[in-house]
Parts: sequence; C-alpha cells; structure tokens
Amino acid sequence: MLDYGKYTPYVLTSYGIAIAVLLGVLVWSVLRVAASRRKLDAAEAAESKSEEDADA
Amino acid sequence: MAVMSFFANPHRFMAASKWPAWGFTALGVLLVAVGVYFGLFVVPEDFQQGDAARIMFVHVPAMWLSLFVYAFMAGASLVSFVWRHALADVAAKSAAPFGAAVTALGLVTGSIWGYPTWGTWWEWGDARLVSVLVLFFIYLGYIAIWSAMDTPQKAARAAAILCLIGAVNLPIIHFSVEWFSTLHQVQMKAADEFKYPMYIVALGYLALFGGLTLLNMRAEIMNTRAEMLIQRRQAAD
Repeated sequence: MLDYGKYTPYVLTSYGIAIAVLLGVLVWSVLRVAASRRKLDAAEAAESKSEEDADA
Repeated sequence: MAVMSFFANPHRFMAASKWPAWGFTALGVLLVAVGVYFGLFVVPEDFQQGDAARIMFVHVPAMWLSLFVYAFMAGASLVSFVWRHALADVAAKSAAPFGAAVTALGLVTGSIWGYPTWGTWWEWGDARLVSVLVLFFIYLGYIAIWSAMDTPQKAARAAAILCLIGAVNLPIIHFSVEWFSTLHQVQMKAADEFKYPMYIVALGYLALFGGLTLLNMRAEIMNTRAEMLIQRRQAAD
C-alpha cells in the first residue's frame, strides 16, 4: 500500500503538496468569509444603534 | 447578457450565490478525494513512466485550471473595462488566489515529476516551463496591484489592464510545445483508465474554483458594505 518503488517519494510528495495547497486555499477562503461576515454584522449593529439613538 | 445584468446588483448576487458557493466547494472536495483515491490506489502503473505517471493526476488538471482561471479573469476584466459591470472586478479579484495556487501547484508537481523522468527539476531553456512561471508571476502581480493603489477604483482599472495584457501569455503557453523544440512533450493520448481519474480531478478543481471564487466574492462584497457603513458612521460623527 502506497509503495510505488523508486517513485514513492515523488508521488507521495506531489499528492501531499496538492492536498496541502487545496486545503490551504479552502481554509483561507472560509476564514475570509467568516471574518467579513463578523465585520459586516458589527458595522450593521453599530449603524442600527446610532439610528435608534438619533430617533430617541 | 440578461444574466450579466441580473447579477450586476450585489444584493441579488448575495441572495443567489450562498448555496451554490458551499455546494460547489463540497462537490469539489468530494471529486478531488475520489480522483486522488483512483490516482493512488486504482490506476495501474504506466508501461513507460511507471508509477511516476500517478503525479499526472494532480499535475495536468492543475495546469488546465491555471489557464482556465486566467481566461476567466481576462473575460471578467474585459467585461469590467467595457461595460463597467459592478461585479466583474470582484469576480476577477476573487478568482486570482485560486489561479495562483493551482499554477504554483502545477509548477511544483511538474518539477517533481520531471526529476525522475527527465533527470532535472527545472530547465530554463524550456518554453513551456518558463511561460508557466511567467503566468505565476502575472498572478502575483495582479494580486499585488489591488493593494498597491490609493483607491479600489484605480486598483480595479490597473488590475484589469494588467490582466488583459497578460492574456497574451495564454496562447504562448498552449502552443509553446509546438512552436519551440522543448523538453516538455506535446500532449499525449492517454488510455481511458488514465483519462477518467484525470477528468474527475479536473472537475473537482473546477468545482472548487467555482465554489471558492463565489465564497471570496461574497467576502469581498460584505467587506465593501462594512467599510461603507464604517465610513458613513465616521463621517456622521
């Protein structure tokens, strides 16, 4: 299993790098969406609070 | 054209893109996992290249996607340039990190395949290798330009121009193995048992590209809206 003779280090390194790169882009994108969502929620909350203060 | 106009409104885009973004991402992960399984455990060794041919299942689709993503960005840049479509710049900007990642992946896995097969990690005289390296630097330049300008409008304009000029490199990459006598071989015909896992991984990369680009577009739009609210509040204070 996972023994490709003299090519083993080349094959496993290639697949390892491929999985690491794809997972890296995936995690970066998900974290970016989460951070943007938090930033927008905070900005909208501050906006509605200032509107309420103005109404009061 | 009607679809383009429909998605010019960021609110409509946000409403329509949520589930496709996560759906394509999940589909991409699944397809890549299946392709990797076939590449490592199911496909037999190649009669010429031996087990080194397994590297092709992650290398070749990465190279296909590196060109496809750049063509997508060039198309979006053209739309931004000609029609000033609100989301075209966002689409091109959001696609660039994935494009740079798959180009780097293609270069590195190609180099790892090259050493046991050609006897060298890299050949500066090879037109295909060098033109793909140039593509990688164009991706990096495109990403850098967005943070180098004073305003997002200037950055979008400069990035679109760079992207359209850089598109000249796409036919050079594609035809380099035919135009120049190089180390990199011309496209070869593969048996079905090799073709299908490659197509599965390519579809997986494509679905991941679609999903992650939509996710990044959503992040970009939320960020812009948040910045707008923050600036409005600061101006009011």
